[in-house]
This record gives sequence, structure tokens and C-alpha cells, in this order.
Amino acid sequence: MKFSPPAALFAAVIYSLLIAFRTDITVYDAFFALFLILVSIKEGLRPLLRLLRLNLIILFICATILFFHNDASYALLIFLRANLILSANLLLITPHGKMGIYYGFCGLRFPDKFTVLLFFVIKYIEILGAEYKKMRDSLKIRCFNPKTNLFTYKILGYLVGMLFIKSMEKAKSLHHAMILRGFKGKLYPFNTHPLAGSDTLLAIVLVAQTILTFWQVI
Amino acid sequence: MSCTLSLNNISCCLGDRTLFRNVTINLTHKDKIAVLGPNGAGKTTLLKAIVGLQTISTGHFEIHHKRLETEKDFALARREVGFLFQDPDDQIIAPTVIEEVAFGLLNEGMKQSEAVAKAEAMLDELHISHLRDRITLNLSGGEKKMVALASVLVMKPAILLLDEPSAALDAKSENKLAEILKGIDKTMLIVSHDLGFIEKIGARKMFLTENGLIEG
Ligand SMILES: Nc1ncnc2c1ncn2[C@@H]1O[C@H](COP(=O)(O)OP(=O)(O)OP(=O)(O)O)[C@@H](O)[C@H]1O
Ligand SMILES: [Mg+2]
Repeated sequence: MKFSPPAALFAAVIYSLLIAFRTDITVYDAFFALFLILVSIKEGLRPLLRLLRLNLIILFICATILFFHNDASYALLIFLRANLILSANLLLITPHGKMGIYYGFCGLRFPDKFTVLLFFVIKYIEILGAEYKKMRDSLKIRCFNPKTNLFTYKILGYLVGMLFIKSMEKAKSLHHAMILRGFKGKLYPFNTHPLAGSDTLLAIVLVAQTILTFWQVI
Repeated sequence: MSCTLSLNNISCCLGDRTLFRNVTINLTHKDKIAVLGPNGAGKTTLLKAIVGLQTISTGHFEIHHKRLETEKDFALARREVGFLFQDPDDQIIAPTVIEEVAFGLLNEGMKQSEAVAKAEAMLDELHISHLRDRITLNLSGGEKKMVALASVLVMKPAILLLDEPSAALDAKSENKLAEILKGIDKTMLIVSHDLGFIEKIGARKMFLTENGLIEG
């Protein structure tokens, strides 16, 4: 099941806040995340694969707490919190692709200044990724295999340097393109996806989760 | 007949769209093939697939009768192949022209003085010696193309895959390039929209369609 970007973004923020302020995590707190996993099974749980990778960092943080503060329960709390928040965010936002967050903020009627900036940030990360991939392909095609010698370091230096310069060049040409087309600080997104029926369900579950969480506190 | 490059029943799907299927062709060391086709036919994709930068759906490639299957096979095969990207900006990595052209040779472990000498000779052959110390990023579109070509040709690869080599070149550079390519007795797959250029090289024309490569 797919939710509209603004609803997904809103729900992700609310749930993250609910979980972030909990001082002990119970099964009830996982209600919303489990609901998301259940409704996402049909589309596949690919987004959660990333969670595995992110867990390398989470586990590292937990391990530091365990070793330096000797506080197993706090380490466990952080582990659970981070995983709940991340899984909900991944399942809600990644199905909308790279621009999901942008469409979300547009749908939530955030000011143009903010959404336009966000749009260019996302677009730019994408451009940089593409540039990096192109240069990697170019090195591949020319049989470059990194070793531990000066030549390798020099080439890697070129790579970083060129990436930097190319990103400036791209920014310049993007800027010029916007000027030529009379950009006035406003974009006109089409795919903002109006609220859908599934969003009602999301809202109900979110309210239920909020009640559950507060009921535990009291 | 000894084949340097064989494409056997290659097909490529991107998402649920089939770009082309049943592309089969055997090339010997003297074959020069010009691949024609409308924009978006998949010409660039086909070239990239040969060097393993693009995964294919069915079929396999052979270079010098060796079947390419793993990434390691492709990595070895790339030593035999010179590849010119459609957009030279994608290809150029070094800050100055001479470094760019010498890169491949140095990468192979050649001594610097030797590599530079060879690179200079190549620049001379393409009539672009005057660009020797220029910053690659500041070159014009056509100049970049010539520099990228120089860095491909200087490696003397057995197989040349050229993606629109003549695009962006002026008449004089184009003629020069055609003359050079004509004089090289190597396997070549050249993607081009320029019929005059293809005639000058003396390449055989083939069209890439959804159902394979068709003689034309
Ligand atoms: N990474 C990709 N993801 C999705 N589609 C792609 C990707 N790369 C290429 N395509 C699509 O595949 C098709 C073929 O692309 P390709 O670059 O091979 O065309 P071409 O024949 O070289 O065209 P041109 O003459 O314009 O250079 C295009 O429709 C392109 O949009
Ligand atoms: Mg192309």
C-alpha cells in the first residue's frame, strides 16, 4: 500500500517524535512500524534492506555505549528506538523515490523558498552521484585498478578534484539554464499526489499509536 | 576466419521495455562496422554492454574466442578494447591534456618519459599538439572529443568501440579523423549518424532495430 507523500512525511515525523521521547520501548510502541511492514509486504520489503546496512552504524554506537558506559539497557533502548524510527521512515518515504520528501513538503504547503531549496539539494545529490558513476566507468574502461602507490593516489586525487570542479560547473550551467528560462524562485510540481483513501487508514493507525504511547506514559 | 569480437544473440531490456533482441554479429580484425539507428535505439547501450558497463538480458560476448561471463573476464577484455564515450566529459579524468593522454600508458606501468613521448606523438598525429598543456575542463566541445580520441587511440587497442566520434568536430578534424580510422586495420564498431563520415572510413553500414542488427 502506498500513501501520498505529504501524509507519509507527516506520519513519519509524528511517529519519530513519539518514539524519540520514549524512555523505555515496549511492544506497543512497535504497533505503527509493524502495521507499515504488514501493508508493505506486497510491494516487497526492499527498503528494509537498507536498514540492515544502517544497523552497522547503530550497532557501533550501541557497542560504544556498552563498553564505555557499561549501560546495557540504554544501549538496547537506542538500538530499538533507532530501528523503529528508521524502519517507519524507510517504509513511508522510499516508495516515492528520490523526490518523495520534496513532494511531501510541497503537499504540506511548505513555503516555496524551502521546497525549492530542497528540490535543488536532492537534484544536486543525484547529479553528483551520476558524475561519480561516470568517472568510475571511465576508469574501469581504462583498466585502472587501485594499488598502494603514488600513481593511484594521484589518480584518486584527480577524481576528487574533478568531482569538485565538475559539480561547480554543473551548478553554473544549472544556474544559467534557470536564468535563461526566467526562473522566479518557484517550481511547478505535477506529481504532488493528492490525499488518497489509504491515507485515512494511515491516520487512524497513527492516532491509535499516539493513544497507545500516551496510555503507557500515564 | 578468426573473429576478434562476437556478439551472440544479445538482447537488452530496461525495465519492461525491450531495447533490442537477437543481435548477432561476428567481426574479424579487419571489419569496420557503422551502427546506425534512431535516437534511443540502444546504440550506446549496446557498446556499453560489450565492455560490461551494462547488463544484458540474454546472449553472450566473445573476444578472441573467449567467452565473457564474469566481471573478471570483462576486466581482462577491456585491455583489448578502446572505448570512446558519446560525451567526452564522461571520459576525461586528468587535469591537463598531456596527462589525460598518457594516463592509460602510465596505468599499464610504462615509464613516464616513454609514456609522455608516445602521448605527444599521438597528439601530433591528430594535429592537436597545440593543446598539450591546456586544462582539459576548459577545452571546447570538439577539442575535448579529439583529446578523448587521442587517449583511446594511444593505447593501440585491438578493438575500437567509438560512440559518435565525429559529432562536434569541424570539417577539417572530421576529415583527419576519418583518414586515421580508415588507415587502422582493427576491429571497429562505430556509432554515427553522419553518413558522409562513414563513407570516408569505408565502414559497412548496419541498422540497430528492435529485432537485431540489419544490413543496410
Ligand atoms: N540507465 C538507464 N535507465 C533507464 N533507461 C535507460 C538507461 N540508459 C539508457 N536508457 C534508455 O535506453 C534507450 C537507449 O539509450 P541509448 O543511449 O543506448 O540510445 P542511443 O541509441 O545511443 O541514442 P542516441 O543516438 O541518442 O545516442 C533510451 O530510450 C534511454 O532513455
Ligand atoms: Mg548514444
